[in-house]
Amino acid sequence: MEIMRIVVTGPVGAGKSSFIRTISEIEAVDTDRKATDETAALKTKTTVAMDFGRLQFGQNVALHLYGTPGQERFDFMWDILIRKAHAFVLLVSSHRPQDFRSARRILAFMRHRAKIPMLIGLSHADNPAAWPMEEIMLALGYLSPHNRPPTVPVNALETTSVANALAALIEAYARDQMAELNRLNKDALI
Amino acid sequence: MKITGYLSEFSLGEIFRFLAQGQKTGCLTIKPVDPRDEIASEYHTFFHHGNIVASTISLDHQELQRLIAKRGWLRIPTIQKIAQLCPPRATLGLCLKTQGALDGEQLKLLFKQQVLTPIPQLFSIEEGWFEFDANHPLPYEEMTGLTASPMEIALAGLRLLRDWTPLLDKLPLPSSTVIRLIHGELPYHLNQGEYQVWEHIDGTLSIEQIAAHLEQLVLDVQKICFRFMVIGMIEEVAAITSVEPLVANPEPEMDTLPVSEISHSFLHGLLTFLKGKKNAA
Repeated sequence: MEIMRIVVTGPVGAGKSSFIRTISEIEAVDTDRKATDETAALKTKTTVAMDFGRLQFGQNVALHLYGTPGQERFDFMWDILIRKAHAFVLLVSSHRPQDFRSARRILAFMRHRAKIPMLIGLSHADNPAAWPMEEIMLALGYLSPHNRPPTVPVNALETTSVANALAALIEAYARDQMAELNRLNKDALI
Repeated sequence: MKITGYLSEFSLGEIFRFLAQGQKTGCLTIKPVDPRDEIASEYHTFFHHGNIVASTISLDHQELQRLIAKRGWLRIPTIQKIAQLCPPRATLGLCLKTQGALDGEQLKLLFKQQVLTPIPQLFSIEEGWFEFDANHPLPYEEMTGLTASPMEIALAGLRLLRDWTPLLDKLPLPSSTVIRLIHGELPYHLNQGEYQVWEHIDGTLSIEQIAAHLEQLVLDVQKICFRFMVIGMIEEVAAITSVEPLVANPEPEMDTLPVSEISHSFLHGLLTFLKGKKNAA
């Protein structure tokens, strides 16, 4: 079975659980309440707060989605999740500037633990109080528009929107993989 | 473009960094929510390409004239007469200097009074509402022609701050590691205490470890690190909390298993599937 693991993270209330529930083909599991074989693959004891969703799109191929615990505290679960992940989505509420500091803190945590492709999903972008995307990126510390991860608006309650965000992340992963392959080929030629 | 919020959500230091790094032009308005805050009912700071060019407590375009008159340097009618000789979009300060009515030192004093003096009070506002309006025209009548880096102003303001209560929940955590974002020559002049902390920031020590090395209070090191964060010199990397292990019977090999590469066919299949989801919805 080939499995791709994606971590969905973000400040409290950014829409992580909704994001996973919207796209998951199984009922998304909050592992606080229920254990599954899939979550056990990441952690043997399942009394941890974590959302889990799955998309099986072929006989032996599946995408697993793991939501990070909501509170702003980085415990062992975070560490295990990020080290097992192939890529991650950072969800940020566009209309909650009070969350930008937390999002930035999560970004720093992730960046220093794993060099994996990522995508920023901006939720509530249609809210009248929403900050423009450019300003949010600046608040998250991305000063140059040429050196930032892919960013898309996300409605965590709409399948189309979540699928679109995931597709953008998969494309980013593929680009990253290709760049790494090119680098290895170049090294081999030298 | 207008952005709004509360200082409890996005602190003044963070706003200054945001406007400086984004090289913004416009007007930042701050209104204390609590009228007991010892400051004007509104406070306006004007930015030009990320630098502070003027600060006022009203938008009547006459505050600089009043400051000059109050110091006894020129009378308001005289200022207005001289200003008529200057081209449009010339700052009042430079205009008066060009005409020989004021000198550079006087402009510096005015700028300091206008911009620097209220800063500690602004940083100590318990709660305030802010708005940044990028479409607000520059008030040339209020400008001395001098500029200041918001980062330096924030650094100066935070150094002078006595009551840190409004910022306590924004300080980096004692258990966090701090990492340098700038290397080589320091862009800001640090005081002795700051420099000592800076010397200990090596990407491995936590704030509490730095405090222990320096035999300083953790809170004092947190405050210095907060200043560094505001001016973009360091980044906080939160530690993994050493809570009771959640795993009752961990399988150690799970932590050491490598993350396998995803095959091209997998990615292709997944993308096709997600596009199908999009179309089906």
